[in-house]
Amino acid sequence: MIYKIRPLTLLGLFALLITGDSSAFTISGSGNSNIKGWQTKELTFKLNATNCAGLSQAVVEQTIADAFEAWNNVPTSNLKLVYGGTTTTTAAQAAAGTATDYPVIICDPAFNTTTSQAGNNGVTGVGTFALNANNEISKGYLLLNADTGASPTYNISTQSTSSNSLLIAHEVGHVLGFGHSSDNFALMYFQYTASRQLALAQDDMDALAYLYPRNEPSDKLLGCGTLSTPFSGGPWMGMGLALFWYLLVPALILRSSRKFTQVFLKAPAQAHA
Amino acid sequence: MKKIIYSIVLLVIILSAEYASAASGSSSRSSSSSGSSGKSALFLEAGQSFVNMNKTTKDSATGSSNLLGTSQLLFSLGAKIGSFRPEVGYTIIPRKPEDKSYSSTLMIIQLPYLFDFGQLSFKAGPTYWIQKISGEGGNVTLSNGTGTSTFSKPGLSSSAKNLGLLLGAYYPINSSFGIDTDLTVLAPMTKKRSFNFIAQLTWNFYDL
Repeated sequence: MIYKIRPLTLLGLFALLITGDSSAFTISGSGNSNIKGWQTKELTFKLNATNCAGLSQAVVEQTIADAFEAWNNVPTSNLKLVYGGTTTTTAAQAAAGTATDYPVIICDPAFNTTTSQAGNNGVTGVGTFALNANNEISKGYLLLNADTGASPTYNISTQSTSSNSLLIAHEVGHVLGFGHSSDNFALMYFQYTASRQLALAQDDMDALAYLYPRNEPSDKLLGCGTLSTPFSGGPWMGMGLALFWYLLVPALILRSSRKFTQVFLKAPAQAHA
Repeated sequence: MKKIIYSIVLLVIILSAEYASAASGSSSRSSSSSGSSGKSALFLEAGQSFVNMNKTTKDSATGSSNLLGTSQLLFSLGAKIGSFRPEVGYTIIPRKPEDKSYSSTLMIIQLPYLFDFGQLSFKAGPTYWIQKISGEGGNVTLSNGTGTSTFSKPGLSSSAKNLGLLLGAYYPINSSFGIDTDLTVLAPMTKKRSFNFIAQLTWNFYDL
């Protein structure tokens, strides 16, 4: 059966689907557009949870895991964020560049002093990084507001778990090298509402693909090597199974279905000139 | 381990059925040339690509997912050669933010195998995606907590390369035009996986 659909009508419909895009990620800091990011595919963060304003280490760790999952969700990037346990690195050591563990997440009980904040101004975290001589990020840290001083309204213990996940995910973005985005859909927008869900916008994904691009086949093929499915066997086993499930099975089923059609259904009529 | 065993068992069953079918002299191979797409030809395509479907945020308040993902016009040139349909696609018009601080283009190379099924042809095979993001540098002032800060616009060029898996279908409208649809899975074996859809109008402009 040949349907009478005008091709140009279809082309017009496709063209109508063009969408505008307001995304505009930036690189953290001014006057240096050529930053190259961390030179690793697996970035391990340590945590100093000694004084998290009453939040338990387990709660903070879960919050970090949620935040990392958002950034670990981009197929065009080869970067994987990993939590590497606790450290005793302090905010002062991290800021001075003398810490042994970078990148590091620190609950800072003197947050307002350390970051020169006015106290009750809505800032719950700060993320930053330092470059080496090759313009690559070599050090970075994230301070969480654990200040229980005179104006503790915005320390992390007063925020919901979901807000803290958003906070950490945003500040991790700064540690990765990203500045704020003018796209208010983006995780790297300077502000968020309490009801917002933790997810990346296309702008965040573009930023990650820009500084940490995936490069197959040099990187693991089809994303193998970080298998999320519950079987072992390494990347080659994963790739074999991927080919099997995604290519061979559909191909063979389709091929077999032709025989089914020929036997049980009428063969499709041929078009004649 | 169970998945591996199930996979092997399923493979053996399907291959047995195929062998039995071939042995009885009723191989369905001959039908591949009887479909409307059996003719070899060069073709041009124009349509939309929908990237990262149901994976990106579309609402700043709720963070709810954007079902259609990010769309971009895609133009392709390809050939139908036997049961293969190699194709190269490119987003000639780059995706740019309002301040044009960077541009993002997408090149897609496909090598699917065709399975004719009456008028319809199904496709399956590998695909290679190259997303290029280029910026011209410079500074921009944006809000930063309690005040404003100056940030750098991207100033380098970067390409993300992904090998993906393609499933698709082609339907001929008439002898010259058809509709081509593709579903591509990038990073299929990880939590990073994304589903991407392409819908294009095909013009078969030269018979081989």
